[in-house]
Amino acid sequence: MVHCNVAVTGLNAMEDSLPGIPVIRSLRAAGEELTGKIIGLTYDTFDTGIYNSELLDEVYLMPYPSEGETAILQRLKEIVKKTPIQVLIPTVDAELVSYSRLEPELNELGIKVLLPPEDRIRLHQKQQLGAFCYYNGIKAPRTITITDPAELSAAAKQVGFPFVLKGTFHDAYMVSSLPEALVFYHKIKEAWGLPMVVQEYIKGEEYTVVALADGSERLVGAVAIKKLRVTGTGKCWAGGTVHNEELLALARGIIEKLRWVGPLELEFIKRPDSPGYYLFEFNPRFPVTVYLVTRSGHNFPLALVRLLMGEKVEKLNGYQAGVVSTRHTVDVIAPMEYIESLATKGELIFDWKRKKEFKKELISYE
Amino acid sequence: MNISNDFYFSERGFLFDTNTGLTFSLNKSGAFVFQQLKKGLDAAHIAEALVEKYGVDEKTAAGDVRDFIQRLKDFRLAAD
Repeated sequence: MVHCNVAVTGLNAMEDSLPGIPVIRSLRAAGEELTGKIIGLTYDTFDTGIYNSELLDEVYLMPYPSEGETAILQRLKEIVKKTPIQVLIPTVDAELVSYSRLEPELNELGIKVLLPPEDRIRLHQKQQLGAFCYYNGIKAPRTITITDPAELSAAAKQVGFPFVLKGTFHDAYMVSSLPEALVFYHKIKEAWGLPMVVQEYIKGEEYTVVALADGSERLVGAVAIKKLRVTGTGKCWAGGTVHNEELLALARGIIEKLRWVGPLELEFIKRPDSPGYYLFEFNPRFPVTVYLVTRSGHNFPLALVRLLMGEKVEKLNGYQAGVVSTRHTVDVIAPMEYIESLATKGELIFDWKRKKEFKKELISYE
Repeated sequence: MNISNDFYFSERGFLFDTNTGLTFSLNKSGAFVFQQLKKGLDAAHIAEALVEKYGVDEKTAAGDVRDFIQRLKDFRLAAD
């Protein structure tokens, strides 16, 4: 049993869902093995996961990563004065470098994070992944970095249509023509800036490996998932765990080469007409499929908390294959006082008495 | 003939390969043949059982079983 307050970021679950809620559901699934508060750190009053009082004890508004590390640190100083935080699990790509850089200052506040150094986190950025794969002999789709729409045509000649246009942090669109590519170029540029990458489209079955490595770069565990339902932008909305030793061995080798610390996800495509797997994406954090992984027997978020709290965590082996999950959306009804609290004070403390009352109100309403 | 143990299989013919994550829907006769393979019966005996159960002629049954086993091999669900 471990006692600590855990803060989790990435609570918005719109089209491009963030992994915060699946991480919290994994922590809640630990039951009495983990006692303490679950604290949500969020960016917007209407981030979709923040009013779920069954999962969260407290929610705090945070400055956006673009506001800089000083602002993030200042806000955390204010929060820990009210509620101490022992473990912080960042799950948004755009904030990982900041939290990694801030690790010494966070430690001074009593907050621990499990992240690799900045240079290794940056390897996930699409323009660096291609080079990493090339130098390490890992099969990967051809990837070309661009910073100008005029480069789209030359890139298209190299990789052919259709191709995938990807932002550095988020967003991926399959495009079939130059005019279509131009539309998405500007859309991605507006949302995530430059550079972006043109990636060869490989048709095949998609897989992902979710893993956790400890602070000594030792692999705690890895679970393979077959994507069973994928959105137009490549997001997995249904998946099933599989035991695929070839894939897991490949993933273990990559994680070793990355000298990884903390959670990560590797995404692969298997072409029907050739052997082996192509690594097409690498995410330096827990993915949204982490709750499926938990239900297959490996609770990586709990293992991460235990590691950071100084407990010995044995290597996790023997997860269950054939566990399937589908993601779906639900309407969460939020009382106006919750929204007001977050909008005016930047914080929301779920009161258990109020939770009970609100449940009754909902029942009578329905 | 070795049938992979890495699958979930229901008698209604739903098959989930826990190695690749691929799913298959077998029709009634396919599910029947797969069950016989799981029991360890060889192709000839399964063809005989098909003739008895579905009333098809021996040549058709033997060909269907052979094709079915080949498809299983293609998907690495069976090996010699």
